[in-house]
Amino acid sequence: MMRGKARKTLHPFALLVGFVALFGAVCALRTLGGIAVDGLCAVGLVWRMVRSRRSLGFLLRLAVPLVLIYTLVGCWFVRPGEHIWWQGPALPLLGSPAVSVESIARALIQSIRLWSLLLLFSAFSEAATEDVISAWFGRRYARVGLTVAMVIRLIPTLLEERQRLAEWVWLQRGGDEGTAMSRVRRMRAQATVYQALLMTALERGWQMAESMYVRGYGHGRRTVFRIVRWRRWDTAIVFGAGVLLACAVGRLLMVSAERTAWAEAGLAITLAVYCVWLGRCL
Amino acid sequence: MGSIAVHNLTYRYPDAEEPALVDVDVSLPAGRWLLVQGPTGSGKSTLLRCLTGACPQFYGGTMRGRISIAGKDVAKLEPLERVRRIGFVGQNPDAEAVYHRVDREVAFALENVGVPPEDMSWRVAEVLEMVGMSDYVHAEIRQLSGGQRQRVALAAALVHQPEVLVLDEPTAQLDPVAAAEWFQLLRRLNQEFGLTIVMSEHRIDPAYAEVDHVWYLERGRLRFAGDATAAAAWLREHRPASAPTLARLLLDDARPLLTVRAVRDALRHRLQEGAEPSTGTSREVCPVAPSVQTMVSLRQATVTYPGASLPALDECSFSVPRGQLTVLMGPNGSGKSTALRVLAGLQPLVRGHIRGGAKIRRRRDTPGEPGELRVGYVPQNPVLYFSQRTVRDEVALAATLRGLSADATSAAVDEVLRRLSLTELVDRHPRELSGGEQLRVAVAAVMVRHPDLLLLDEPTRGLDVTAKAELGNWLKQDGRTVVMATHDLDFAAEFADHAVFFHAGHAVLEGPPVQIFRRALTFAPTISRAFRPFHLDVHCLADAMKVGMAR
Repeated sequence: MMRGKARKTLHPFALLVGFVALFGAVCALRTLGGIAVDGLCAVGLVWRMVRSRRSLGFLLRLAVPLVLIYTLVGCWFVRPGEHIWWQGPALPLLGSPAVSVESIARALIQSIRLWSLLLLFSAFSEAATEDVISAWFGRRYARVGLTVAMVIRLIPTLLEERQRLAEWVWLQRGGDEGTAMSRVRRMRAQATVYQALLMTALERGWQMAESMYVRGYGHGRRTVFRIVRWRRWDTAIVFGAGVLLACAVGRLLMVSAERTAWAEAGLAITLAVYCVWLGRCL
Repeated sequence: MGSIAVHNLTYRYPDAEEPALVDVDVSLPAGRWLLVQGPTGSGKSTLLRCLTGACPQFYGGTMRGRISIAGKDVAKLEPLERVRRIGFVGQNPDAEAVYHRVDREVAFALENVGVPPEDMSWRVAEVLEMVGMSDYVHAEIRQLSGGQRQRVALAAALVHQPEVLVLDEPTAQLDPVAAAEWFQLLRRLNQEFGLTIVMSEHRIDPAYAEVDHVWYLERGRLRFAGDATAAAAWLREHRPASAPTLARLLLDDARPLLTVRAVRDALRHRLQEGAEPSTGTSREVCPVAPSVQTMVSLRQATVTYPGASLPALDECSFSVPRGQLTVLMGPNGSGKSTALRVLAGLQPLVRGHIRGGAKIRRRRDTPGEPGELRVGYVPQNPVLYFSQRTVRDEVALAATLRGLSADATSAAVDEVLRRLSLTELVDRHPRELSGGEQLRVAVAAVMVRHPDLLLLDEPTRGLDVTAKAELGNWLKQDGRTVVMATHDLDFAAEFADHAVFFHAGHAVLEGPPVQIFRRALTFAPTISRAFRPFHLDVHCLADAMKVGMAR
């Protein structure tokens, strides 16, 4: 049965604080080992959220070209170390790009960090449902929150309808007859899809507005249905976020090389533990 | 508490030439269940909107006369007072849901009328229990079935404890089982809680078995108002096509019978008690009929949608006979629409194969390889697919997209418009037509390509009796091969040549509809259920006429 789905029980503000701490920790990591741990944590969190091999496979397939291209391009523009492999000509505004072992390593770290941030953002957007977003706006801006929530809710509906319309137009233009399509006809077909989509979206908007009007929206002072209460684990999540951010700040403040390694390891371990914990709450 | 009075009500939409309602003058006592009946475009929905206050406050337009609830004029009620008195359920719960989660959606009206947050939780819990949805309190609405969504909409309409519940074709998207459950739920609300229910509905047979009163509208005017039996008698006399099917049986001329049980009892009196069914055919399981001429067939077809745990089609096999009307029946989510998509070439198979079907669509915007069949596909709710400003342009679109010349397009369009009797509507906007006309436009847009196989997904949804009859007669012309997914068992009994019953992605029964209806309990037309003990082969009015039981 559907009752009590665990991922809905985390308070919206605890969720926000938790992800802010994760983003902060990822940005503070500096070594390849630390950032690799971070990447694995982000993959695990996304897996926990989407629960779909297809979606995860898509994200992993996306990672390879992203990391590769970012590393190849980025290594030209980060500060080269001592072992320079190749020195390019001087370019206006960009100076003289150089590729070295250190620059490749730094670019690799940056690319994995970027990918991790994208994954965390993906997990975050999965967790930030319409109800969570409207809760963030609070009672004072409840109408803004409701509007944002409705827009977010409309997007998947529009995408589904766009797909159905594209199929309809594909059949209408004789897709199964193997007719060659000129560019103009292709554009016409696309325009047809978006024309119908727009008209349908307007009709849906009208129907929803009528439904809201009939149910009393827009008259008098509204109250707000409390979707989730603040519970003990929300406090724990916020406390954990504080610890994680403290580790991140500590890592950034470390100067000594020996201490930096320990701080990096401590931050990576804290990040991993926090990620697992947060994932269990979602 | 909950009585309704309509005094000389005339309403005209903004920019409309004709008023949608003209001098409607009628009343309903409190605590009764009312059916507002009439053909498409007769003003049923407008009357309901006047009752909820949406007309004229939301739609604009001009209103004369007044409509009152418990003696208070709806137009003069304070908005929040109006909301407290009226709950409304529309025919499209998807489009009308504001939030994505069940409990929030149900609490929306409470938020609007300013109920304190500490009072909301128990009210939401109570109303969800009442409609049988308390196990889905945290569920996302889009993950629910059509019947469950409609129950959530009902809970959202009842949560503020209104005096009057207004429902606009609430069972339009439900299968027969879900529709029966829905009527049971409404009966409980009406009888146990004394709720006044006002409902418009095209599925009139089960409605007549439940409602107390009927108002019959035609072209915006009230033609009849009275109790259900009197209304059935009046319709049988003056509008026989709109009368409930059971009321058209010639069992008791003075007092029409409105329930299956009453008809069965009357038949028992008329026919010899305990006689064997009047057909020699046994009730053995009918094998899958070997079609003499099969146009297309699915063999062991399996389809799984991305992210779904169960396949939508699971080793499904059935055949489509050439030149016949085949109906796909079964509960919501049983795989009927997926089967149509497979036949249209829109859905690739994970396993199995199609013999003689369209080629599978490989990639968006990429034409497939030459198929063996030209397939025309009319999806559910075709109005969503209209993009042009006139009927002519909409019908011509397919020809234009195929790159036909202007002359060829014009000739093809003229021919199709003429064959579908749409010539008078060519300059109208397709989205402004009635449900039956919109369906004809969608079919015309498909017929421009002269398809060998016509696929229709729930085409009778929202159509009145006349429009259904027109559709059925047209489909049977010229030996067309048609496959349609439908919940409309009466339509299937009257017009189908071949039927396939789906369950959980399997085609579990296939053959002539007569054989299926003989064996089915819930998925049988109303008349089949009434005649089952006496005539195994009476499934529609035409059959009843053959045995001398209907006119």
